[in-house]
Amino acid sequence: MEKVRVMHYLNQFFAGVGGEEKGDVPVNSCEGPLGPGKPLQTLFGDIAEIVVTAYCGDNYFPARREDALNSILQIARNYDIRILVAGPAFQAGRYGFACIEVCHFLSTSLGLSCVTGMHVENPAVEGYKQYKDRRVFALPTGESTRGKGMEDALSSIAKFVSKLTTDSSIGSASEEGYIPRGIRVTEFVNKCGAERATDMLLEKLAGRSYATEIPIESFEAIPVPAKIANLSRVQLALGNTAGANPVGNPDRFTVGKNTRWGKYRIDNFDSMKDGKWDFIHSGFNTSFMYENPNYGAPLDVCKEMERERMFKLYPYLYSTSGGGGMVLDMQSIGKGIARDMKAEGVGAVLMVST
Amino acid sequence: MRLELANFTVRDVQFGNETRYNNGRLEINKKELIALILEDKKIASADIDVAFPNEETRIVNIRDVVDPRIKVSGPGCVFPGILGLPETVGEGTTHKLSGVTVMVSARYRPTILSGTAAQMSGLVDMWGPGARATPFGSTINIVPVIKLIDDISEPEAHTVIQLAGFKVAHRLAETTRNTTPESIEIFELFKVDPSLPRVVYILGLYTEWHVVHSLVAYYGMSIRESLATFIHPNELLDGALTPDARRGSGIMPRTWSYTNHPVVLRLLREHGKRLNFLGVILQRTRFEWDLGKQITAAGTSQMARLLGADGAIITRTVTSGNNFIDTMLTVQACERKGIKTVFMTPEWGGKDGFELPLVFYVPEATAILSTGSFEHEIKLPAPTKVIGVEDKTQLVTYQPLDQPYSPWDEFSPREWSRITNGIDWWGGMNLTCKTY
Amino acid sequence: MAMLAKQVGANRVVTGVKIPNPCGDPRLPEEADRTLRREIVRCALGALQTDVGSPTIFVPDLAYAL
Repeated sequence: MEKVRVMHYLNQFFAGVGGEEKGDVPVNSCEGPLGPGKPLQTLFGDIAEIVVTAYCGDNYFPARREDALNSILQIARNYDIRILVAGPAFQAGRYGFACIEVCHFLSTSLGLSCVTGMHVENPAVEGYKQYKDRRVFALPTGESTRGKGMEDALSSIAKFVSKLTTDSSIGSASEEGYIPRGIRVTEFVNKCGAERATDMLLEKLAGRSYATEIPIESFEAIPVPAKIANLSRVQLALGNTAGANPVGNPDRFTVGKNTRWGKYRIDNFDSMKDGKWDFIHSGFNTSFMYENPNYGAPLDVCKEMERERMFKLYPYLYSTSGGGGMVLDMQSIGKGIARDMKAEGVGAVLMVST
Repeated sequence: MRLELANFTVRDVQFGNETRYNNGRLEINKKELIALILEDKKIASADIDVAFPNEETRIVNIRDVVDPRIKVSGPGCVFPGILGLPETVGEGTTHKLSGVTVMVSARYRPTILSGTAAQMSGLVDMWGPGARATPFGSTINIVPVIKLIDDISEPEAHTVIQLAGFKVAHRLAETTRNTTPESIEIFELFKVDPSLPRVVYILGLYTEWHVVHSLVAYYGMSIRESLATFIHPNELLDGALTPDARRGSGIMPRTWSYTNHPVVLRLLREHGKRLNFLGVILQRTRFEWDLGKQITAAGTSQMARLLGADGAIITRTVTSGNNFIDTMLTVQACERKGIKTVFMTPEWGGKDGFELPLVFYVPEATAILSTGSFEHEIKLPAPTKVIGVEDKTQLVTYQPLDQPYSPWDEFSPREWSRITNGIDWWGGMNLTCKTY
Repeated sequence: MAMLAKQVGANRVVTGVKIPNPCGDPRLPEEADRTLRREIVRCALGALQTDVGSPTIFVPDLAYAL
């Protein structure tokens, strides 16, 4: 059986070029294994061969990312590579970042399977989880090369590469031991949910260990905008997610899984009742808002407060429909609205959500 | 309360001169059943077809799916409050035909076009990936295909469709009245070893308080903005809870699922063995304001505590992210009262499984069970036979204002809810999600 | 759902009345409903003018006689 052709990516230190002082070396390569690639090659045996090693400085990479990636891609092409191994990077943040970027780029450009290794707390793991590349696998390693650190890391990389060469389908993260990318896949198992739930509850009640099937997520903190010092000078905009829009749905909101937003004139109204509105949303009882659209955007009292000079009201109502919305779509709608608001000089927002 | 559930397995269904059950074979007199259905003058036309597992058949315009069962002794009847007086059920002897369903495919002109009170249809594929997503892909489905009269209100439509299904199911189950059952299972919450863990099942049911049929009825009465209610599990087996029969989408379980409830059956079977099953707490959701959600969480967890529960399995229905919060807060409230919980739920996650699986979390939800995702991509191939449409040109809609589609084509539904019972609310299927 | 908004990281959250009518209450007579709406907006304006360090829920000054 032919040996699978592997490219190994290293930083300047593991390539033997030098330490921190050599962090600016550009992309370079040499045939065959280098540094930790040599014991890795021994572990590969007859299954795979490191035909080329590419390396680059830890500082060069982030500074000249696009150039670096293109050079590395070219080397992979020239050597007709099937699998990329990067690192292991342990706790090294810049090295880890480079490994993930190289894996991501080569995987998306050439459809390569890529294996890297790093500690679970390496900051680069965040990027790996965001990319969600189906063919990029990061294996957990110890904190450093100390003791058997490198030996263990190379051993797990070699085992995984061997799996990739013999088996094209790789199982879940917990089954195969790689750091999860957070891609959820629906599967059939041999016990029904009700049975698994009963078993899980009995384990929990007995104080024994059990494996939850959906981990609790934590959400990223959004930086807090500073408070408004002088509200009377600020342009305040009203927004809503109830899908309010002029009758006829000019921007074609959909009742569920909507991907659009719009803004509609309200400066000539003293109350939402002065206009004709539709509420395009399938997730709540819209009849109350049809009766009194001020429930969806409190225009009547805002106009009153504007007359009392409490603030200046932006002359348009921002609007979208949020029912069953996909998170990524909603994020992109939010960004679009925010960009428009900034361009229009809006300083504060009242977003009414159902 | 002791219920003897007598089982008669159906291995084959044939049309014949008589409606009878013999040794695993159910024979149906088509004319007789059609006449039975047409006794209701609000039904303009009716036909009956049968779909078998592994056929490349797609059934559409599904509204309700019913389990054929009848009560031969004991108080009340199956579907109390609907087929008879609302007496407490769950005792005596009930006969059921297993391996077969009555799956009502109905069409009528809708008068409510949008919002949460509009009709919805579901589909079932008897082969391929669609069949594996629902229990009905593995049952023999007897399909009354009915068309209602034109001038019909939505509440009437529900009653007509529900009764058509219940009457046919009842007639089929009648064939077993004087036959010796294949097997009998006894369901009873007898006294057990006091050291066994005390477990309660919190059945979360999404209801819409402001529509005529609130989506779930208790002894025939719509559950609106009620507080937690405690029932005996046997009551479910005799049909004490029934859904709105017009809404066949996978968003809400069909009648069949209530009488074959996977969690209830499992806990009943484990009673006295590994646990002490206390009973079922019905928890109505979705409360439309924050305080309301907190109130249901406090009240439901308090009922569990007063019952002396050590642990609870908690589930919910309907893909609404909003009602998910009611249930998560209940998980939290139970845990804070010292009741250990397992929350079983399907997940979101988008088409590729890249997005967040759940929309809301509490730190106390440390034991969550996944029954798969209803958003992950599923591809349904083209069928060779379609039941539920008049001809090859007739289109189907999921909801009145939705884009109509041809059931003869292959397609990828946006959600598994397009499939009747296509979302595994109660863990009856072998589904889960794994992280890659 | 203020608690959901808080969880996903919205820093200034004001509790409204109910999902179908966040900015008012259809069961109240018109005057009282408008007063309620004004109080909700007043509370929101107050939130805009308050320093917060992390997601915070602001509750309008009303009795929840629901």
